[in-house]
This record gives sequence, structure tokens and C-alpha cells, in this order.
Amino acid sequence: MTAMYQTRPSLNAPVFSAPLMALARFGRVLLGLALLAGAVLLGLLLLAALLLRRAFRGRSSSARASWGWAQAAQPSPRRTTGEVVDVEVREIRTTDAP
Amino acid sequence: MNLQPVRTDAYQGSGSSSSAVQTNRVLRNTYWLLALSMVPTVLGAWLGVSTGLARAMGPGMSLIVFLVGAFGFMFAIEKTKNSAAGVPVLLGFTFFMGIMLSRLVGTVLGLSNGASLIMTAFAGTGAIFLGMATLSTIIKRDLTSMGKWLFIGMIMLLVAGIANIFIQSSALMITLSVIAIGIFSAFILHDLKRVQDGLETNYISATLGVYLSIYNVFQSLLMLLGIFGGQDD
Repeated sequence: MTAMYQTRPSLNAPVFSAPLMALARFGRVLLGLALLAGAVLLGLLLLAALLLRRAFRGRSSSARASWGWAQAAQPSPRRTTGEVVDVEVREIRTTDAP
Repeated sequence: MNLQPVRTDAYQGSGSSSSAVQTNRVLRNTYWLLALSMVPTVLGAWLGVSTGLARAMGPGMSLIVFLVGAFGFMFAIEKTKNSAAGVPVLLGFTFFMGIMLSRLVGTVLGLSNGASLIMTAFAGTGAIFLGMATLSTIIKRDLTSMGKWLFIGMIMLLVAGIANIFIQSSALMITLSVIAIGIFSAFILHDLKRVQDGLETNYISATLGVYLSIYNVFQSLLMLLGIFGGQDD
């Protein structure tokens, strides 16, 4: 037991450099903010779902038709298979060396 | 074809046999009207593609047109479903939905194998409908409670779909399309079972529900086929 304590590095020993510690702190703050943003977004989505559910209560057909529109407004299938991009092709002329 | 309007309040059932006759009549009229509703849909889609009507509208404009058109038609269907005027109003609605479909149809037709993709999506939708219609005659369980869960699922789908209009994620779109096929296929089963159980006695309402489910299944299938099977050249 005593041997283990002896081989263990001291907790006060500077393991990481100061910039690395600052970076880790910054990462933690970023992670916290991302989690908060995710929770807010999820809350908003749930709120929207509740409002829509109330709006469409007893009107299942209206909700079904609305989905038809929402899906039609999604990105077009062509975009995912590689959008056609106008590419200007220039002819490269090679001139003979003088 | 005998498409007589069915008045839910005026129907006087005199026993289980007349109730079965009534149910069969509603089911038969629903199938006939559903078949008939495909004609205005195809016409609307053709008109939309040939004139570029839906493509010319931006997302904001299409939302306004949709809100005014679809909700106006659905309000009119609700008001006229117990009269003979309900059938032409429903057919007018399906024509409008055909125009709304033309943007996607036009995009898929722009692919080199677009026509074959549309036929595949149509055949797939037909197979799903046939499967669900057969299943609705086999299943003896009451599926009323399933409707509540399907409705919640559809609302979640709608929220995610609206969010994706701004996010524009193709991966999310694929996921939503797959889920939509499942949910709306189950809706077809649920709606047809309701008619067979005698819970839906108006064939215009029944047709509207099944039509919208078929429309959404077709749209989702076409979108997936366009992504995975579309050839640009």
C-alpha cells in the first residue's frame, strides 16, 4: 500500500501546460453551450409539436396534407446525387517556346 | 359505379346484415372514388410540369398557395361531404394536390431515368396499398388506438420536416422519407380498417384520408428513388 502511494505522482504536479489547461476549459465551456443549445432546440421542437398537435386535433387530413407540402419543400433529390454546376471550360493554349 | 352520397345521420340500420351491406357500400365507393381521384392528380401534375407552375413558386409563395388552396378545399370537402357536391370538390382537391406534386415530378423527370423512377414509385405505392388493403381484411383486432400513436408520429414528422426546410439536410430528408412511408402505410391500414369496422360511414372522408396517405407514400418513395436511383446523364 505504501509503495503504491510512493509511485503515484503528486496531484499538485503540473501535468499540463497552462495553454493546454485553458484550451480544456474553453472546450468544457463550448460543450456546455452546445448541450444548452441542444436542450433549447429540443424544447422548441417539442413545443412546436404540442402546438401543431393542438392545431390539428381531430383534423388528421389537414396534418397529412401539410406533411405533403413540407416534404415537397425539402431539398430536391438531384442535389444529393450531385448538383449540376455550370462549369466554364476554358481552352488552354500552349504556345511553343520561343 | 354507384357513388351515392352517404348521409351518416340519415342512415337507418336495421340489424347486422344491413350494417354489413352499408359497410361494403362505403368500402366499394371509397375504392372507386380513390381510383377516380388518380385522374385529376395525374392531370394536375402534368399541367404543373408542362407549365412550370409549381417550380416558378418559391417556398414562401408555395406555402401561401398551399395554405389557401389545400385548407380551402378541405374546408369545402368537410362542408359538402354529405351531398353530391362532395365528389367534384374532392376531385378538385386532388387536381390541386397534383399541381403541388409537379415540382418533385418535374425534378425526377429531369433525370435520364426519371420516367422509369416514377413508374417504380407508382408500382411500389400500389403494392403497399394492396398489401395494406389485404391486411385490413385479415386483421381482426381493433386498430382505433393505433390512430392516436400514428397521429403523434405524424406531428413529430411534420415538425422535423419543417425544421429541415431551413436545415436542408439530405440525410434527415432520407430518414424522414423512410419514416413517412412507414407511418402513412400504417395510416392506410388504419383508415381502411375503420371503414370495415363501420366506424367511418362517409366514403368522401374515407377517400380523402386514404388518398392523402397514398399521396405521401408515393412522394416519399419517389424522393428516395430519385436520391438512390437517379442518373444525371
